[in-house]
Amino acid sequence: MIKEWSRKIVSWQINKGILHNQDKEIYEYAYEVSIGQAANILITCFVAFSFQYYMVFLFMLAYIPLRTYAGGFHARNNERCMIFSTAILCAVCIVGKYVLIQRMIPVVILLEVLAVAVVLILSPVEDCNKPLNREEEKKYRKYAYVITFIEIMIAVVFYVLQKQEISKMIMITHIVMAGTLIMGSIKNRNIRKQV
Amino acid sequence: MKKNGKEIKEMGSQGLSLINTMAMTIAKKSVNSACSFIHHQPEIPSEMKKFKTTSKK
Repeated sequence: MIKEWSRKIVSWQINKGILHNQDKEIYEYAYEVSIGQAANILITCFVAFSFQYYMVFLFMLAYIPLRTYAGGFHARNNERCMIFSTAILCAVCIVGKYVLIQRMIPVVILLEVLAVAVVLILSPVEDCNKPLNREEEKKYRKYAYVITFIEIMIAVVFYVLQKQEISKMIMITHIVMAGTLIMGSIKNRNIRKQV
Repeated sequence: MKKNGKEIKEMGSQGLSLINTMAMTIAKKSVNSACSFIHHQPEIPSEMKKFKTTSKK
């Protein structure tokens, strides 16, 4: 659907003389990526309003930079991507709103340690549509490490300052990130087996 | 102040140029990262690879 929209937008602009025909492919890609991102931001707003839980924006704030460099699982098309994103956001809202971490600190710390270990070991996980070269792998791994470290520091600081909601959201981000990295690695392994 | 058709058309094309520039900026950022944060990664057109800041694969 998004692919179709981006094609129509670009074709219309070419017909109107705003874009050149030789730039068709790159603008179709640009619009597909941009509309996809805009759709996900709208979905986030919708989920946040539906659950009346605005900490989900903090999740996105922590998740987007990490995801950008650590990579992870990608759905096969935009529609599946939206369903998957919405499911994750709903799960984040439910866990964030109803799970009290104060009652299970040891479990939460164990999960956080495991999640961070997964992020540090697996990242970056490439997608078959965007293979990474050695230079990129090295660069993105470094960025993912730095972002993870900064987020852990922020989580610790807010935990000490008795703002556990913020720490909880950062921990949820790392757990979700670890999950998508594991799923992405499994998907890549299966693709390699088939080839 | 009433605007004539030509002025409105010009404003529209300027607006579209701005949107095109924004879309291209997002696409360039996407090419130079492991993924855009959404869960679908469209195939990168070969012409888009010229925007990579690292060496091409």
